[in-house]
Amino acid sequence: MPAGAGSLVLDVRAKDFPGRPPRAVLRDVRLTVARHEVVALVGPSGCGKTTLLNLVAGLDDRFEGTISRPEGRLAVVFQNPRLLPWRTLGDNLALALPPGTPDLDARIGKALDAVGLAGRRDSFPNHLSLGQQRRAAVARAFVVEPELLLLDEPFVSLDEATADRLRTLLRTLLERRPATVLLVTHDLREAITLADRIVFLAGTPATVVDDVRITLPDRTEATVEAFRRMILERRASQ
Amino acid sequence: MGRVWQHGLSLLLLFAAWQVAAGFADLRVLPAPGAVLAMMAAGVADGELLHHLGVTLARVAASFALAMTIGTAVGLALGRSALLDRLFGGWLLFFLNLPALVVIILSYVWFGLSEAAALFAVAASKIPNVAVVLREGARTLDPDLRDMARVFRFGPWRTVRHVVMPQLAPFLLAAARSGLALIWKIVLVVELLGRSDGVGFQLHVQFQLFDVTAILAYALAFIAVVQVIEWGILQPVEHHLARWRR
Repeated sequence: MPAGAGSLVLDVRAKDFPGRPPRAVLRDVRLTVARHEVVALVGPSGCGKTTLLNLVAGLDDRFEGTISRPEGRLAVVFQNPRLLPWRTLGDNLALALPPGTPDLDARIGKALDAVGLAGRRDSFPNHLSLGQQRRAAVARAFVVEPELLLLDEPFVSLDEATADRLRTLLRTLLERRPATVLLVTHDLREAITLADRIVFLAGTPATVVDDVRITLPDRTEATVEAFRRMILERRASQ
Repeated sequence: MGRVWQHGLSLLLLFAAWQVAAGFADLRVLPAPGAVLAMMAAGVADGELLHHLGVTLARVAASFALAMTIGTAVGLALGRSALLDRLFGGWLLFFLNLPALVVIILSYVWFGLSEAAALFAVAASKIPNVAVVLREGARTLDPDLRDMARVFRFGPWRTVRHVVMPQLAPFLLAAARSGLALIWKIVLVVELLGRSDGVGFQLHVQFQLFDVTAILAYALAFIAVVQVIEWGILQPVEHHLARWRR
């Protein structure tokens, strides 16, 4: 049965890094993310999560298999904010939109406002803290109104309080404007807080080893922690 | 204000030392600064000095533009393609070590004593330097930013303008700086060997007349122009380009 419109369907049979011998990175990663579903991809560091995300983003097409993406725009929040340091925040956002976009100014203003950077429109990225740069990267992703949003460890190397605020911010933004989301993280708590479903990637080469739907009526610190214990026990017993 | 004052004092000391030295030397070999300045003023008044300075400036501008354009194109090609670099990287080394004087002589022999030959000779002596610097720049382009530009659909024009050029700017500036310093000097040699106007030609004529005052007048005027370009163009451009840095 074909997946519904707006879903992301991954069928990566093999991805190797060239070399002698070639290094097998991914094998048989099959995964469907339904329209406006948030799926977290969890696995140990260096297992190939970012490689997979690059395939999904279309930045790397040297693999066997197929990836069908939802129609509409793609946005990525990279592990490093990847803002252009020589352009102001406002210009960084403007460049993500096609020239001649109607209401360009208002859209940028709204996007920066939504992440709490309304007053920093004319600041250069290097003049901001890492947390602010991350927020700007999130604003850039949302300003293009993406159908598919990819997040690669977007809140890594922030202090816990800042990361928590950013997770809440991301949830709010997604409630306001849903998108099909693939989130890569090694932090299980982050995955439970943000995602509808968690897909576990493990092994060398990496493949999908588990797929857990998150059924929490509300996500408080306690319920997230309990769910995390439950998953860890389940993973240990497998 | 303190620094301007110090620069002024430094310049004044230099002229004072010159004045003292001129007092001991034969005035025909080392004229006093006053005489040189008077000669400069006279040259400016009758338009002679300005004419030759203008001709030289035009040659510098034309060959500089030529060298920067071709050198940048060559450097980017070599920096982006490992194959091209393996094939032609060695040529660069060869041309880099080819003395400018040889290029000038060959250019005049092959193409005649023409303006085009002069400009070609100057540009050709500088192209390898520009290419080497820009090759380094092309190698350091950040693939992460390129990927970001692809994801957010910058398109080729915006990618070049907002992603690539700012990364190359320091290299372009370095090439421009060392390029100007070199081209100023080579243009004079080219003029000396095969042109009938320009500062180089004038220096040659005054040398044969043994008019040291005129030689120093032309040299000072030349230095003044170079300094004006440094302070008036290069430094403001550099400052503008670096404003995003911490």
